[in-house]
Amino acid sequence: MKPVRLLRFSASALLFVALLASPGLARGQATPSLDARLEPPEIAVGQEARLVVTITGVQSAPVPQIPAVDGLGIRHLGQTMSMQFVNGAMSSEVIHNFSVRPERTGQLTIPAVRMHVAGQSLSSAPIHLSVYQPGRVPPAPRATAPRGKSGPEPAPAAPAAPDEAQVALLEISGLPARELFIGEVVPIELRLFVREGTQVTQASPPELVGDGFTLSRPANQEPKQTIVRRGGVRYTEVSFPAALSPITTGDIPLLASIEITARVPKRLPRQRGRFGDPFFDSFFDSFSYHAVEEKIPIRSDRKSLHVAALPENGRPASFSGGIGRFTISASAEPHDVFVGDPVTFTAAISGEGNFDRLEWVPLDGSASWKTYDASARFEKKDDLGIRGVKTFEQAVMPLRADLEGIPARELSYFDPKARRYVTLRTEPIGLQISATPGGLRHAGVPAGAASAGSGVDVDGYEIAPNKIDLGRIRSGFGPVALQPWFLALQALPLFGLAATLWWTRRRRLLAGDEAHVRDRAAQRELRVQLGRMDEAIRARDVGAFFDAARRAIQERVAAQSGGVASSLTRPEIEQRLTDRPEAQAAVRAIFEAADAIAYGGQADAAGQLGEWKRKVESVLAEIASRRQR
Amino acid sequence: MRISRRTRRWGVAGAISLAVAGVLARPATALAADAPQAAPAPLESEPPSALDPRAAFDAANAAFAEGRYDDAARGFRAILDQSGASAPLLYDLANAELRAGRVGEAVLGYERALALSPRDPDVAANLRQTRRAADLPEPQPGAWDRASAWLGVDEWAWLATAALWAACLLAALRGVRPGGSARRRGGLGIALLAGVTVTAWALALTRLAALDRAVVVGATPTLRVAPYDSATVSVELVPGQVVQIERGHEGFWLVRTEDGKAGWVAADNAERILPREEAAH
Repeated sequence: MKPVRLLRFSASALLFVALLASPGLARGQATPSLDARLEPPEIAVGQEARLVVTITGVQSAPVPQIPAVDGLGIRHLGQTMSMQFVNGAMSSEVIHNFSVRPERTGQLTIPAVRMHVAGQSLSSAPIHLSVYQPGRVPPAPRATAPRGKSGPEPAPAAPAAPDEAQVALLEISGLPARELFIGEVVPIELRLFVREGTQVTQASPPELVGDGFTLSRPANQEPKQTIVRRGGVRYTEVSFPAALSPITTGDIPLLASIEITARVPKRLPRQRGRFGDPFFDSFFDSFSYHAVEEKIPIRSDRKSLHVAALPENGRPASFSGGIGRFTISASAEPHDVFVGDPVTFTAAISGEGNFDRLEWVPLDGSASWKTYDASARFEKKDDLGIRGVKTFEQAVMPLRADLEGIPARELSYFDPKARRYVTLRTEPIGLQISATPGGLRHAGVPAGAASAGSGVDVDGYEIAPNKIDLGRIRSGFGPVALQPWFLALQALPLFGLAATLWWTRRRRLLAGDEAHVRDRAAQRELRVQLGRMDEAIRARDVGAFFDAARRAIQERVAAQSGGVASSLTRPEIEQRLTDRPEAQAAVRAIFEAADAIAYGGQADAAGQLGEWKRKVESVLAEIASRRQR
Repeated sequence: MRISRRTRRWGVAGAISLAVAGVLARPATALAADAPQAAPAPLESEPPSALDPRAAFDAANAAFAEGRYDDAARGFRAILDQSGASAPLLYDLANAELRAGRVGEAVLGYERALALSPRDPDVAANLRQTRRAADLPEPQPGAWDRASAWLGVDEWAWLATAALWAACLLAALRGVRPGGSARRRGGLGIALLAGVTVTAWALALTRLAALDRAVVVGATPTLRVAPYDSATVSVELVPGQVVQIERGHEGFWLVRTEDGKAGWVAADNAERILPREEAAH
C-alpha cells in the first residue's frame, strides 16, 4: 500500500471509530446553532470557493438546502462530524461542504441558509461573494473573510486554495487632475503589484491599449521594486516611470496592459478515494496542489482623460511648439569682432515639458546679418527627458560695422496648467563690431554651424584652388597592393629563398656522404683520364693513351665497388665483370695492349687509337650500366 | 655531365617561377582592365574615343573659372569615365561639386584624391573646410592611424615589397656563404628588413581599412529600417557623412554610421571611397 493511501486509511479509521462511539456520549450538549461562510470571499470567474455550513451542538444533520443564485453553481461535496471533550463537557458539530463556482463577475449574494435540526429552526446570515475577472485582484483585499453567522464561533475553516488567490494588479498613477493638451508630455507611473508568493518568471514591458496616447519609457532603466502591504496582503510593487503624451482630442480612454509569466499553484485533478466517499476527498484536498507556469495578461482600470487642442486664440508668432514651463537665457561669443567674423549666438531653454517639440526660430538673414542654420542639443535632467536644458546655437555674421549687437529674441510656449501662452524674451546682446579695410574676410565658421541652403555656401570659406596639371592618369584608383600580380610579387622572393635554402642544405648533406664524395672524386679523375686520352690521340702517343685508358677503367671500377683505383689488377677487374663476357674480353684486350706497349715497346697501334677509345668508352659505359642496375 | 645537370635544375626552378608568376599575373591584367570607374555618369556630348584628357581637363577648369560648376563637374567626370583617375582630377572634381552645392560628392572626391595623394595639403585642407562648413564630424584618428596616413596604400605596399625582397636576398646570400661576422651582420639586417616588411604591410592594411568606407551622397539621403522605399526612415543622413557598408540587398546598402546607428540606405546614396566590383543585390 502506498504511503498516502495508508495515511488516508488510518485517518478514516480513526474518525470512523469516533463516530461509532459518539451516540453514548452525546448527552448534555449545548443548544444547536448554524454558521455559513465562504472561503475565500473574493474569487475570479472560473475559480472555486468553498461554502462551509457548520451546525454546532448536534451529532447529525441533514444536507442543508442552499437557495439557488443566478450565476452561481453550488454542489454538495460531503459532510464531516467532530466531537471535543473539554473538562468533561462534550461538544460536537457537523460540517457540510459545498463547492461554489461563479459564472459571471460582480457582487453575488447567497441568501440565508435555513434548516430544521433537533426540532429547532436554524438560520445563517446572507453570504456575499465578490467575483472579478481572471488575472485581476480587487483593489483592496480584505484581511478577513465575511461570514454569515448565527451561532457560536466555528472552528477554523480549511485554508483557501492557493490557486484561488489574487496574482497581480496594474495601476496607472501620477496622472494630473486636469485636462491634457495634444503634444503635452506628462510623467506617469505604471505600478505592477504582484502578490507575495507568486513567482514571476517573465514580464513584458507595460504598454498602452488603444491609440489615443503615446507612451515612452527611459531606455535601459530597470523598474524599481518595493514591498508594500495592501489590505493586509504583502505585494511586490514594480514601478515603471513613463512619459505619456496625448495625440488625439476628446475624452480618450487610457488603459495599460502588461503580460507576466508566473508560477501559479494549481489543484491536482481530483482522484476518487478508496472509500468512494466525497468526505475523504474533501479531507485530503489541501494536499493536492502543484505549481503551473502561466502567462497572465493584466490590465489596469480604464480611465478617461479629456484631451484638448492648443487654443488658436492668442497664439504668438514666436510659438515654439513647447508645452510646459520654461525659462530662457542667451549669450553670444565673441563680443569683439570684425565685420564678417562669425559670432555664435546661444539660447539655453530650461524647464519642464515637451523638449522634443521645442523649436527655436533662428535669426533671419538680412542686409545686416548673414546667418546659418541653428543647431540644437538637449541635456536632460531626468530619466524621461521631461526636465532639462535645450541649447540652440546659431552662427551669425555681422555685415555692417554700425550694428549694436544681436537684438532681443522671443520664444513662446503654452503653459497647460495656466491654460495660456507665455512669451519669453532674451535681452539684446551688445557686440563690438569693427570694420576691416578689405571688407568681408574669408573665415571659417564655428563648429556646430550648418550652412544655409541645400549645399555649402563656400563663399564664406577659403578653399584651395584647382590644380592645372592633370597628373598621371591611372585606369582606376583601386590600390595596386590588392592586385594578384602584386601579391605574386611577394611570393617570388620567398619561393626563391626557399629554393636557395633547399639547394644549400642539400649541398651540405652531400658533402658529408663518403660514398658521394668518392664518386665525385672518381668522376673528376675519370674526366681527367678521358682528357688525357684525347690529348694522346692528338699527339699519337700510344703509351700515354693506354696508360690513361687503363687508369680510367680502374677509376670507374673503384668508384663503383670501392678500393684504391691504382691497385686494381686486371684479374680483379675481370672478376667484377663475370656476367659481362664481352666487357671482360675488352678489358683484357685493353690491359694486354697497355702491358705490351708499356713493357714491350709496341707502338704500331697509333693509327687505331680512335677505335681503342671507342672500345674504352664502351667498357666504361658497360661498367656504369652495371652500377645503375 | 655535371654542368648540364646543374643547369637543368636551375632551368626547371626558373621555369616554375615564371609559370607561377605568369598564372598569377594573368587575372591581374584582366582585373586592371576591368577596374571600377569613379563615377557612372556618361559623357553626354562627345564619344569616348574623341576625348583628349588634357584638353578636356583644361576645358573643365575653364568652366570652373567662369562659375559654371555643373559643366565643370560634368567635364571632370567624363575624363574619369573614359581615361581614368588622377589625384588632381579627383580634387578638381570635388571642388566643382562643392561649388555646385553637392557636399556628399565633394567629400567623396576629396577622400578619393587623398587616397591617391595622401600628402597633398590642398586636398586635406579642402576636405577639412568642407566638413566644417557642412557640420560634419571631423575624424579623430589614433596615433597608428595617423602614421598609416603618412603614405598611401600602394606606397606602404611597395615599401613592404622592397624590404621583403631585400630580406630574402640577404637570407639567400647568407645561406650560400655562411660563417663569420658577415653572417651575424646579415642576421641583423634580415631581422630589420623583416620588421620593416611586417610594419609596412600592417600600415598598408590599416590605411586600406580607413579607405574601405563609403560617403553619403545625394540630396536627401535617409537611413531606413528595412531595404524598401516604403520602409520607415530611422535617421536622416547628412551628405558627406562617412559610413561603413556591411552588405547589400536589392538596391540598398546596410550601413553603419560612425555613431553606431545601422540601417538601409539607397545604393545611389552611398558610394565607396575605393570602389569595388559589387552591386547592392
